[in-house]
Order: sequence, then C-alpha cells, then structure tokens
Amino acid sequence: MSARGVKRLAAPAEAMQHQREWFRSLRGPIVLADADVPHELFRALEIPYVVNQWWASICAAKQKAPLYLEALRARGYPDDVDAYSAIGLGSVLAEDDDPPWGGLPPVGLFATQRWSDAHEGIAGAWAAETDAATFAFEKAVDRRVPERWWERVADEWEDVIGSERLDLMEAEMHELVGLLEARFRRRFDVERLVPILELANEQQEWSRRTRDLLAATSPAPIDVVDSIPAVMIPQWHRGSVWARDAARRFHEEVEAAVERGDAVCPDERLRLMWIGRGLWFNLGFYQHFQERHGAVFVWSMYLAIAADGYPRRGGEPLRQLAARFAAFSDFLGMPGWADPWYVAEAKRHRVDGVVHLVAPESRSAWFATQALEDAGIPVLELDADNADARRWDEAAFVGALERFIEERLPRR
Amino acid sequence: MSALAELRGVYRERFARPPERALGVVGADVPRELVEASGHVALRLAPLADVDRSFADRALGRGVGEAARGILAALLEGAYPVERVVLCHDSDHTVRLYTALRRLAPRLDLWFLDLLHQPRATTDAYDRARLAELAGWLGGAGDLPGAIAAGNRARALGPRLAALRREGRIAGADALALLGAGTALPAARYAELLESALADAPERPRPRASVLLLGSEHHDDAVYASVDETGAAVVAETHGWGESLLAGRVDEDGDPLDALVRHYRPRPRVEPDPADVQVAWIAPGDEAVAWSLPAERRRLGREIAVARTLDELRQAVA
Repeated sequence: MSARGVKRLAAPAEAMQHQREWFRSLRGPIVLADADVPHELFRALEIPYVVNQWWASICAAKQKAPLYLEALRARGYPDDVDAYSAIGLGSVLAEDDDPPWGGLPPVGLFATQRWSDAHEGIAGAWAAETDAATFAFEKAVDRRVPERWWERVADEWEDVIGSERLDLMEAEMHELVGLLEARFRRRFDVERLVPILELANEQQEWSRRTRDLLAATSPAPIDVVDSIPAVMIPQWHRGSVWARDAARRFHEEVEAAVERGDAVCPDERLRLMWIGRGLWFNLGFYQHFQERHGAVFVWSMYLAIAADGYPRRGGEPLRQLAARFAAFSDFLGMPGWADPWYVAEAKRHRVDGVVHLVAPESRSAWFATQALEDAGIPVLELDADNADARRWDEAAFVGALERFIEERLPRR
Repeated sequence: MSALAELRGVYRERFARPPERALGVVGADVPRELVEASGHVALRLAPLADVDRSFADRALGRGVGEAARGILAALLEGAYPVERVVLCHDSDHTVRLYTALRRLAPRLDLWFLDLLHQPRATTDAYDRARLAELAGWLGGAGDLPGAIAAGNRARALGPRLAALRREGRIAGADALALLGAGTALPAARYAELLESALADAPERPRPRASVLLLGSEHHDDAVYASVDETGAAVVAETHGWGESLLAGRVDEDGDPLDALVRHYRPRPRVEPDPADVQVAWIAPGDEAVAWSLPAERRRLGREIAVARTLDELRQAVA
C-alpha cells in the first residue's frame, strides 16, 4: 500500500505540478500564515505567502516531520502539542541540508489566529527564535449557536457570525494591513481586494458543485486521495485566476468521470467518511480497504468546507473577508456548530460509517461522534496525529478499521 | 481562631461553606469587582474530589486540562452551591468547557465573558463591550467604584505577602490558601482577614530552598504541600491561583469598565524573580503550557525543571 495513495484524475497532479513551480519561484521575505487567516489580504498586497499547515503537510509527506519536531524539542518547545502548526517553525530551526523542495524562503511575518493556547506559544516562539514579525488574530467566541449555519452563512454572515466578532476582526485586519505595508513596503488598495474575493467565491462555487455531484453519485468515481489535494492546493491560492480555474477543471474531470461511469470500486459496498485532518504522510491508508471490503472514503472535510464554509457574498470587502475567518474554527470544531454539519454531510453523501481522527486539539470530537452515532451512523475513533508519523501505528489502525468494517458496518 | 486559620478554613471549605449570594466563576479573568458591585460574591469554581469525572473526560477529551474536566463533571452534577455561572476566555480549556457545557446542560444559567488578550486597542474595545454586557446580565454595575476600591485594599496587601513568602515566613501551602481564600470571600472581609494574618505571620525556620512554580494552574495545595514536606517552599508562582490574584491595582479614577479592561486584559499579570529552584508543573491535558517555558528560561536566566508527577517534583526540588 503506497504512502502516497493512487490518484485517478489529472487535477491533483496538475495542482501539485503548479505547486512545485510556484514554490520554486518564491522569493523571500514571505508571509507564513496559518490556514484560518485572511490570505486574501496578502494577495491584494502582492506579498508572497505560504500556508503553514500546507507546508507541514509537505514536510510530513517527505517524512521530515520527526526531524523538525526534534529541533523544537531541542530548544525546549513541546513536540507533541499541535505539531501540525509547529512543524513550520521546526523546519526553519532544524539542521537539514536537504529540506523539502529546497526549504522555506525567509519568513518576514508569521500570522495566526489564536484559538488554542498552543497558537499563542508558537507565535511567541517565531518571534523569539527568528527575525519574523508576528500577528495573532483573536479568536472570539459567540454566546449564540446558530441553527444550520451552512445553509445561511454565505449570504447572512452578519447575523450568523455576529457583528461584535466581525467588528473585531475587521479592525484587526486594518492593523495587520498597517504592519504589512510597513514591513513589506506595499500600499493596500481595497479595489485590488474586490476581484480577489469574487474569484474566491467562484472557486468555492465550483467546489460546491463538485461536492454535490460526488454526494449524489454511487459508486464513487473518485475518493479522498484525489479530492483532498485537488481542492486544497487551490485553496491555498484562493483568490487567484489559477485557483478558480483549477477548481473548475477539477469539477469538469469529476463530471466526465461520472458520465463515463468510472468507479473507484465497481462493487462499492461501503461509503466511508473521514473526519479530521488529512493523513499527509499516509494517503494510501484511505485506499487499503477498497479491494477486500469495497469500502471507499468518499468524504473529507476539505471539499465540503470549501463548498459550505468559504463562500461569502455582499457587504463591504474587508468585512466580507472578516466574515470568512471570524468563525472558521467553529464550523469544524465547536460543539453545536460542527456536529450537526457532520451529520448533514454524512446523510448527504449516504455514508455507511465514519472514521474520526481524534487528536488532543480536536475540539468537539465527542459531540461529533455522539451526534453521528445518534443518527445511526457508526463511528470509529482513531487517536493519532495527522502530521506526526512517529505515533502512527499502521498495523493497529488497519486492524481497528478492519474490525470496525466487519463488526459495525452493514454487510453487502 | 487566628486570621490565618480562618483563611485556611475558608479556602478548604469554600464549596461546603460558600459565601452568601455566591455566583460561580470559572477562570482567571472574571472581574470579582463587577460581580460584587452587582450584589453577589464571586466563588471561583474548582474540581471537587468526590465527583466522578469519567463522562467529562470523554466529552472534553485529553486535549482539555483535568481541572476543566473536573469542573464540567461537578457542574453537570449540580455539585456547586451556585445557580448562575460566568466562564471566561482565560484559556482554551475554559472555552472548550463552556462550549461543551452549553450543549450538555442548556438549562444552566451561564454567561460567557469573552475577554480577550492581544495587546491592541481593538481588543480593548471588544473587551469593554463584553464587560458591559456582563454587567447587564448581573443586573447592573451597582457601586462598581466602591467594589474596585474594596478589591484594591486586598491587592495592596499583595507586596507584603510576597515579601513574607520570599523571607520564608509563610509555608507554600499556606500562601496558596491565603490567596485562594480571596476567591471565596467578599473583598472587604478578605482584606481584613489577610491584613491580620500577615501581621501575625509567625517566625519560621527558613526553607531549605525557595521554589518558583511555573506552568499549569493549582486549584488545590497538593503540589505546594508536597514541596513543603521536603523542607523547601514555593515562594512565588505564575499561574492564575497564585499571586496574580492580588497583582497590580485597578485604577479608581476614570471609567471603571475601562479600568477593569486595563487590569484584566494584559498578560502575564506577574513576572516573579528567580528563586533557588525553578519548576514548571505540567498538568495532564495542559501540555501547551510548555510552549511558554523557553521564553521564561530566557527571562529568568535560569534552567527550569519540568515536573508532571509529585515524584518528579520532589526530585526537582531535592
């Protein structure tokens, strides 16, 4: 079983090829930004940025994460707390004469959103250990829990997210722009942001169509080994023409595959959902169960959140952008927000079972598992870290999933 | 009964013999002044030894500290003598406790004070609005200036307590009790008792070694007492149940809500000097606190031992 997994479409390979060429063209100083930070600002300011979690996934895929985590431990930092967000720092601190893709260019600013205590520590470590400036957005918490946010947030974001949180993040974006203008000698023009937001929405609209098409199609024409890279690499270039077109080409490929009647598993007997971050060092795990059990991983959060969590329409540009991120981690990890969405997606995709990657920082794991089980959808929880292969026990997890399939999922 | 003995008793019995009109608070950022101004007494909640925590461990998971899981368990069991509870954004543990609690116990009368901490005017404005909302929920800000003044009378005793501790005149566990009693008493009464307890501080043999305790929080005195037993003594700490409770002073002129933001928003509230031994206690589920240790090492210019068990702690202070 190859750690990379077998890809069926051109989209992931094209996206990866683009990623290599783009990364080779990068010149520092860059911004290294966490996934839930408004990248569109950097694009509007024409400042090169790399997404911290994407870079960690490359380091993990190249089996470098252990070396980079060890570099953190050597300086007294924890190597087992939110590793996915810390590997980037380890990659610039480690002694490595063969870094993935030549290594990160110099980082001028590290940007994060402070929703876990570790995020604050990681930003502090960047400031202490490197010459990078840092900016941490607050993660405000709303006392309300809106019903079925995914059906409303694209257009009714002022109400769903709450004006107080939007006021705060919009004001913080002005502060970040000031820091970026000074640090990178650029001038922000909101008019440049408008087409970026439009392209971003078009991109997510293509993702929504792809999600809906895959949800409605059995047997599944592709699995998550194709969809994850095909949707996430363009997501890290959100607001660019390339990313919008990549999402469209991905949709067209899936549409063609459906028309041809392609099937990952012609005798597909089980449709599985993967909740949690992707296994970057071991995408092959998702395909291990196809042959013997006809079990296909048809869902991961990446395509679905692109469809439901990213689109925002109307309003002032900066406020619309603030609305994309002020509640983003609530969608995927806050009780009352995340668990109903997972159940709705499980039903939309007619899944038979869920494999739930539970790490310490998984914020609503019990609630998601409980809600799915209450909805009659069996869940297997795997306690592991998606980016740190040192704690991945292949035999144990394959065995656990085999037993789950045989003991808890319907026999067809 | 001596003032020290009385404060020890308040600290140990704070949930069995709560103050009148107690209102539960969770976390280090709920301004006691605002609660007292509304006619209540803030009772800061901590885990209860005799409450089963197994469900709470599953619901919150191992990424949340044991203390927060213990408080969830006790709240779900109705084990605290309070009807209303305010939680805050002092840490991710408290946020995850709140967001779970509002789903698991929708009938509990909860409020979440989203007081944030980035050192920016944008956060100050956000925090002030959240304090005003809390005042409304509490039934109005009442005599907030008066409550601030009463709180400051206790804060004014902070330096004296710190000095006595550094001189070894107060055992570690007693110091934690003197500080913790303030989380379960009206400010005026607390200041009165604390003043006389410090005035009567008995002579004690100097501890074999002074210890600065960093890292996770200590809602009970198990670790402190364990250090005392070795002949050493915790003389200062950075966590939220320690000297930070009395740190600083809330401005008594100008807008009182602004004054509360200026006091509760900045962190850290205390930066103690090095002691003979520096130990970071890391509680289960609170591993993220280790991210702060390299910066503390640089600030203190000293090595910091890490302890996760009482045995490791005893070795560190041996």
